[in-house]
Amino acid sequence: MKPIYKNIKERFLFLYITEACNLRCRHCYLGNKRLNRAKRMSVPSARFILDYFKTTGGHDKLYLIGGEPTMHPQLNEIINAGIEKKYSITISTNGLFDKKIFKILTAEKIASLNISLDSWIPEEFQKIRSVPKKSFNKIIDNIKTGINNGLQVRVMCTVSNINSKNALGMINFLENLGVHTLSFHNLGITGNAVNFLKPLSPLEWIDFYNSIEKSPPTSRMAVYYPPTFIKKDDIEKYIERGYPGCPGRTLDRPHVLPDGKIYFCPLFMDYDIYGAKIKNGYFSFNKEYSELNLYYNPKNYCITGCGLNNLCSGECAAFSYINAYKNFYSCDKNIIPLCILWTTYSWDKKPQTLIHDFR
Amino acid sequence: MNKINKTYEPFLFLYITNQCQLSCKHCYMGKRLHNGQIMPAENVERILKLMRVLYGHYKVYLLGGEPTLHPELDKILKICKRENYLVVLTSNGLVSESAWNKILPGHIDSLSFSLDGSSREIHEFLRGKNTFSPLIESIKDARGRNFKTRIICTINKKNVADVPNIINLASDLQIDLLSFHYFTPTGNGRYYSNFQLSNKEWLKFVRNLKNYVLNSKINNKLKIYYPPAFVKKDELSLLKKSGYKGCTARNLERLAIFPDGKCYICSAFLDKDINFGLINDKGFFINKGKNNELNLINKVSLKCERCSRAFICNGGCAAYNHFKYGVPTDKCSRDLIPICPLWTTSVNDTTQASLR
Repeated sequence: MKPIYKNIKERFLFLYITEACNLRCRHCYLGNKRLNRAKRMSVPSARFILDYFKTTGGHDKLYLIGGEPTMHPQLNEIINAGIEKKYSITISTNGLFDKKIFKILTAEKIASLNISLDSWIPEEFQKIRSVPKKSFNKIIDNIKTGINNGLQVRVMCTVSNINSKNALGMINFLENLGVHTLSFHNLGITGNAVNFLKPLSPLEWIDFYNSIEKSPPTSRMAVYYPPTFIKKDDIEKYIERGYPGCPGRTLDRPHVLPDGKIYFCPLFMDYDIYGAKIKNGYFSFNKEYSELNLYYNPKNYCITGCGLNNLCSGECAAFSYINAYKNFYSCDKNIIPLCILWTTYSWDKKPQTLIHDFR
Repeated sequence: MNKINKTYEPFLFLYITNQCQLSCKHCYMGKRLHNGQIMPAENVERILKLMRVLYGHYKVYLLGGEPTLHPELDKILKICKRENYLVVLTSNGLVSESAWNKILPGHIDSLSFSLDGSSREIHEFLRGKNTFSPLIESIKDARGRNFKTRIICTINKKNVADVPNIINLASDLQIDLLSFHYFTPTGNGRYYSNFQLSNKEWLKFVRNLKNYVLNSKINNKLKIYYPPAFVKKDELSLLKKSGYKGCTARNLERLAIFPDGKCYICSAFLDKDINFGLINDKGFFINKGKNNELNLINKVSLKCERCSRAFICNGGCAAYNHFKYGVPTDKCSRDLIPICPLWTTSVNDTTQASLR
């Protein structure tokens, strides 16, 4: 049995370059308050942060996200700064950008164009994103253009009670478009989702990803999903596939917002318990009660022994802390929580290094 | 792409007692020594369980003070075994008969002794009178009881010339592992800062060490480790290949915990009240103090941010920066690069397995 610490830690940097967005999606974890505030990260700030994490943490992968990152007027400069610092860059967009943005998002500069699409059925899509029907076609059009331009195009699909029934249909639909990767997300009960949507129950979620595993496609499109909740007998399987435990505890995946606040787990973004802050070229940890305190204080039964040999690395600190999860899930030692952010490749055991490349 | 497939080596350093018979000139414990605090066995148990859950810890170094003075040492060793930890116990060699009875066979993976000179004169100059012969006897005793044995030797100006003799002695004593450490002026060492080797002297020590080991007839069994501490720029890529992953403190992966519950992430800061956190029976609490070491180790000089090699050295060593010894990053020549002085590599063990 491979120990958990042998699994590769993912040194990913998530840069929220703008809170501005042309949409107000029901599942947006940033929440409308931030989207309405529309704060933007300056280019010098972005440069400092890129430098900082490259140096201190050896971070190698950069996710440019928002809000809607294509709305940042200096997107091109930020991308160039990332390239200069030798990051592999993925941009996550809602796909409703003007064609001229493709002049900036070229295959030479961008490792991956990551587009959010939550349904292959226009009416369902419309319901989740609250946009006119024609928006769906515009996104599909941009996906096609991206592929034609030689970009690696991925699609992110956040699964909730509203789209779960048809979600598997995404696989065929996107394969036919020539999409490189489909990444399912499990809706977190944070941001707008608290008011507007519900995630699948842990058992429903397990059924959902088991049905993905049961239906491998014929083409080469990669499909990822976050196990999030697993049956206790499956724990070794996911550790073998590379589950590295909570990334918050090792500060691996910083999420940096335009106001300089850094969350090491984005699930905490509704609470002012950010782990650290970067301001005026200075990095400091939050001295008040922060997410860092939470990572070190698992439930007592996780410490004293639950009979599962500590393989799960302790209950998720966010599930324990966040109010909305209180009536939704707590560990019963049969359904075990894994980090909701950690996704695994379906169908096939790929080498960990390759999985790292894909994400 | 400068890819780093990062995995961790989570080690736990438990200072189970602050008591010690000695007050060595280079002891980094400083004022803590002799304050009489000991860590109760039940605290050891809770910490081992907690760290196993959080990080998958599997290896614990039992330290002090002098850990063999702990009245519940046998109980602690049983707990370590039950919790499935590998155990390295580090002693000054002044082990009483009753203490030997508590060092349970089959409960320790490596018994480590601190030796700072091959002769009574050098060793006792650093460690105090009547410490050499009992130490050698204890090492022989440990060998006789079939323990795997190690020697730790902290290199400074007073013993650097003695290194070949120390190696020969370790070889003659049939030791498994000899680990050299780099003396820095912390704790008691602050009063002997003139003992510290300069960067150039340290490089010379490393050079001589390699030559000596490769050209002399030492016991095949003996594996020798040392911290490079500073590397020349053209050796940086080699360093990465041999497993250097930068500052371990930044990933909170190696906690040092004291009897009073203070937790440190870098042992260079142990003699200051800037510990990262505090652990007690109510849980774990991040230190709210102004100078929490977590902030210090994450400070990077502007010079590093403009350096194309910064992602290899990870911005040098924060302890060097804070204390202004070694090579602070603002004085980095980009030719001689500072790295974590706690990270060791082997002269003659290609697998590097002994320390892992």
